[in-house]
Amino acid sequence: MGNYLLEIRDIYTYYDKIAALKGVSLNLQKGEIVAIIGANGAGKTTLINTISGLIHPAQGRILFENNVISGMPAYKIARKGIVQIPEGRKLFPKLTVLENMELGAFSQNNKKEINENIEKMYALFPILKQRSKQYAGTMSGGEQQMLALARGLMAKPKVLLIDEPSMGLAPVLVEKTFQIIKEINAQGIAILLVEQNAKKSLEIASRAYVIETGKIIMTDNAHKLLENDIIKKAYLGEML
Amino acid sequence: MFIQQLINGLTLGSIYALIALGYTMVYGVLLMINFAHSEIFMIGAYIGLWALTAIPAFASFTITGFIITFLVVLLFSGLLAVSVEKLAYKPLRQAPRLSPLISAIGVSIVLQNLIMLFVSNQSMPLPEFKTTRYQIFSAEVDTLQIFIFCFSIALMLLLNLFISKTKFGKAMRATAHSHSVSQLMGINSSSMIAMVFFIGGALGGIAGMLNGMYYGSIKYNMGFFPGIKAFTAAVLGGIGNVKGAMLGGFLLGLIETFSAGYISSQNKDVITFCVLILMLVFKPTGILGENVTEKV
Ligand SMILES: Nc1ncnc2c1ncn2[C@@H]1O[C@H](COP(=O)(O)OP(=O)(O)O)[C@@H](O)[C@H]1O
Ligand SMILES: [Mg+2]
Repeated sequence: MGNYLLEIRDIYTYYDKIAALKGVSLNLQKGEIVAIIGANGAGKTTLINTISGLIHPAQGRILFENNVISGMPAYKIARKGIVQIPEGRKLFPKLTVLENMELGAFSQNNKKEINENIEKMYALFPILKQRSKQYAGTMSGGEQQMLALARGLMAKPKVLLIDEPSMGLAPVLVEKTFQIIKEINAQGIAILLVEQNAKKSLEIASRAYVIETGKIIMTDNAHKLLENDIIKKAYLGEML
Repeated sequence: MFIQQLINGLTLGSIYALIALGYTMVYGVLLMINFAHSEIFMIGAYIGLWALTAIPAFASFTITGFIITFLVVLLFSGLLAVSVEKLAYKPLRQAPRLSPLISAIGVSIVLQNLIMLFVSNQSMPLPEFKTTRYQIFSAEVDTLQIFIFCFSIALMLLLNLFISKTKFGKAMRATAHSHSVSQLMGINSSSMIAMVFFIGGALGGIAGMLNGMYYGSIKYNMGFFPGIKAFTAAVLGGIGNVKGAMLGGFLLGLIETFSAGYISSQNKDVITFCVLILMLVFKPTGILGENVTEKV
């Protein structure tokens, strides 16, 4: 214990009186991609939002670089380098592509570095350069996902929490999105990846947790879970 | 007659537009009508009077004295609006949406009564301003009207620049779109809300000061009608939309003076509100309410 980048210890999160997380524990090490798989309504987004501080856990603790962050306001957690790329992109639709990226860098103060990062994003996602003056809300789903990733990266994250990045995307774009997530990770950013597309996420993750009705029911190396019969049946849609 | 009404309408419209910005910006970030805003307008005028008279150096109406007076109005009106938010609205952030509305009405009554009790329940004259009158065809315009118009336009251009170009202006627009998503960017939405109240309050207070200068006197209940009209202007332009509030303010000023000039000065308010009702029937979102590009 004690050497994790992000550590979640036995958290309970409620909506009014209903528990959406019931004693979840998990951890993330430097440089890892860890996948969280689970059915619709299992509590994945709740978990991500609890880490981000948008919702506060009623019990349990969350530690980042060995400091307790649970209970801190969301904007402070974001400034520490735990950056969420939310489910459904959640861009600022009435702001331009460039403004969305600039807002991603809100916690950064070095103008020169921000501009360099914008150029990096343009290199990674050339479409964003073409569309920089366009309102984010007018872009296609795939373009919006690229912008959501770029906006997140502009914050220079230490941990990225990515919630359902492939949702609503055409298969080619799903492929591309996972490819980019792998590239981002290769630059040293640890990633907690939430997906309903269990197969794809297990393929790029090193480890995974399986969540069911607010509880972690299983955790293992990703390639082992890919071979696991229960997982195959419940989450990979394979007939045995 | 036409030019005269145009001049009067633009002067009045400048004041309405400045007040309307406060309503619309607060609505933009909190989806709440700040009914106490008209009292910030009123108190802005009192702060201006105080600054002009209480400190002898200013009373001489030098340019410096004038600038300092407006800075004092700006600062204190802004801070007053921020304090109102912190004390009366912020604790109700999680409450049903009607609660802060009731709280705002309460604040409005309290502020009026404070001025009535501790300052005066009579109208108070503002020091006389030396103005020059100019003849344009058959109409007259004085320096005060020119000043009110130019100063308001300058403030609005500055606000536009702030909102569209600066980091905090962008963060303000982000907060208006979503508090939670903007927090994920590291933006402290409470600070952004405070900033909106500060800017709206400052503009409202300055409008109060300008209004006092224009009519020559101020009173504890002076905020009521301009407040309602500026709120109308904000709705007319599309509530939540900054450019809409500016447009709505000028439109309302013009509608008011033209109906006073051409139809009936007694019924100008009736006519003004009929226009609003028609507007709401045919385009409920207001003039710029749909293709909102600058919602704050
Ligand atoms: N804002 C909310 N208010 C009340 N219940 C919620 C809210 N958000 C999610 N829930 C409930 O919490 C549970 C977990 O939801 P969620 O975390 O969104 O699941 P997932 O992301 O895995 O699909 C579900 O039963 C859902 O109905
Ligand atoms: Mg979800």
